[in-house]
Amino acid sequence: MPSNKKPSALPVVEPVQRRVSVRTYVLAFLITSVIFVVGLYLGSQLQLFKSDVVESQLQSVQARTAAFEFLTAASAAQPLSPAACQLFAQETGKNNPDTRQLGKRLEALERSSGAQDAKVIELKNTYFYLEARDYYLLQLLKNACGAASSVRLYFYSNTNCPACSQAATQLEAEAAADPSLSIYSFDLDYATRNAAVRQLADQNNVKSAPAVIEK
Amino acid sequence: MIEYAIAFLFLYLTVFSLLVYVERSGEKRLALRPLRRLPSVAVIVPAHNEQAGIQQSLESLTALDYPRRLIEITVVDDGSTDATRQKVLDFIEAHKISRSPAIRLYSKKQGGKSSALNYGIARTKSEIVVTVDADSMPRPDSLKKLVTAFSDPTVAAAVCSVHVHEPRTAIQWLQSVEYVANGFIRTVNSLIDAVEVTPGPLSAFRRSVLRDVGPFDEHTITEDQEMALRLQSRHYRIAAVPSAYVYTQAPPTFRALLRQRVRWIRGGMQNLVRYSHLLHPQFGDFGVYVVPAALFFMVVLPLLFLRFIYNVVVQLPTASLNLSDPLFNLFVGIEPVQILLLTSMVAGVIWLLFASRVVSDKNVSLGALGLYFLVQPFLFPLFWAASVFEELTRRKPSWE
Repeated sequence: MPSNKKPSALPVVEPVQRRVSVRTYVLAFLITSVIFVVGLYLGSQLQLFKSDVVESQLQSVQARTAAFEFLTAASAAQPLSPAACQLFAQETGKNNPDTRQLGKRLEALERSSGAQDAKVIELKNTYFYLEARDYYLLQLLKNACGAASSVRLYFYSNTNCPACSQAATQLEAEAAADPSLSIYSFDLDYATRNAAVRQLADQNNVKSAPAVIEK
Repeated sequence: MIEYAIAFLFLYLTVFSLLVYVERSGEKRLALRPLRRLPSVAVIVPAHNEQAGIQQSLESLTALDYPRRLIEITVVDDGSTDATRQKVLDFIEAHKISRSPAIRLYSKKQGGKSSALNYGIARTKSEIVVTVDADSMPRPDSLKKLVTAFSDPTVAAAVCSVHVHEPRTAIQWLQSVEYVANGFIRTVNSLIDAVEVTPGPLSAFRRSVLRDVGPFDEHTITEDQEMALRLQSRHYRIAAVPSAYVYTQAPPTFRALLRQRVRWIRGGMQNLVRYSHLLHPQFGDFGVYVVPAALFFMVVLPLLFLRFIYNVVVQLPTASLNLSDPLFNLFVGIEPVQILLLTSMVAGVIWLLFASRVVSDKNVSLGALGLYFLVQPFLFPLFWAASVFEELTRRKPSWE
């Protein structure tokens, strides 16, 4: 008897042949690894570049202090002229904000790269010598030119010093209110490896952080 | 270390999916042939309290470009307490003398979406069963495109691209991007026989296959995913047809979205546990890639995102903003791992733009894209946490 059932428009369903696309997984892994390695390389170059930027700024501030020192040597031979004293005032005015910005950038770099990073330690050492020299020069030339300026020596620590951030904030506010205020910051943790920090801490009888010395 | 692993994984998934698409999309197109004649189709529309959108959905169904004699539209009113039934009757009355396909309406006691689907399927006879949500609107050419997939004898079910219908709120714009991403993932998974869901808004099945694997599970809250997993467990192929579009109403508010996503995530977790045996090479790429990826996205990723949110919340009050030197601080703050995460994000953006060209007829807007990348990492762990809480406290899920 012929069937009345209409034939299906569709082919009969068949099970799918399963496969694992090993080649595609491996190729994707290789491509991803290449992109990843390039990314890691860019990241490491960025790390080097960060410290180069700070180092270059440090050298630029150092060079300015060298010109300043020349004036100081000249003042030892004979009294400074009023024009030279004016120059001194301008250099001091320029130096301090730049040095302060450099200090902040070093701080940021230290937070990013870590306190034990060799480059960070090298830059901080140089910075503290620069600061200490700037401080002593300021004292010397203040006497030579009779210029009035206020100075704060600030000793802090990045290890276990909860009061340090409050002291720093307060000093920031004072510096913002008084542009003639010069603040020199030293990390007390460097007292064992940096002669400038050691000398200034001993000279001012600083035993712990935070310590703010008015001069 | 974990951040490096996440960056690598996201990059890998991006690269893998693009590679699969580039390598295989050509070969799959060749496998489709025009059918000698079109099969008969039963469109089943389960509806529960859908008075707001049912008529718009029926308009689009009656406008489908498909021979009238070969299509039957069946609406199953699943115990609606609003005017759904009346709306359907009014529509039928209004279109009685038109040339559009006939619509049948059944009303039953509320039993859930699966029961409504099964009720409708049992009362139809066609070769192909098409399930459509009552708030969804297929494009006129979608049905023919879906049906063409069945010219391949290995295809047991066919799925489409789901898009958000006229997004208005930020929440809907966010979902519009998400749906594009999901559509592309389904397209890629289709190329490796690993489709993991037959979306409720529009999916098509061979009736013979439904007879073989059984009806929709009436005890699950994500029957669309459960059916897909069941088909995969029986080595049936699910084909994605990205050019077949359906537009669906997306939750417009955060609260509505939360309800929906909690249901999806809970259902997904339950299904993964039930079908954990699919984590096996005998299921091909589905077993070695899709199932592990689903486990990762369902279990590990939310925990990582929660950790990320915790870190942000904890560090925010102590973070100091140096506004006097912003560029330098931003520059110094960039770590190598952040460059890698940024690379993954950029790759993700490129991926999404590519995906929108494959599954959509318009590009994703940059604003929606930005919203998606900024907000999604926070929303997803929130939905996950809510789902875990509801699952552990055994709260009764709701069918939105």
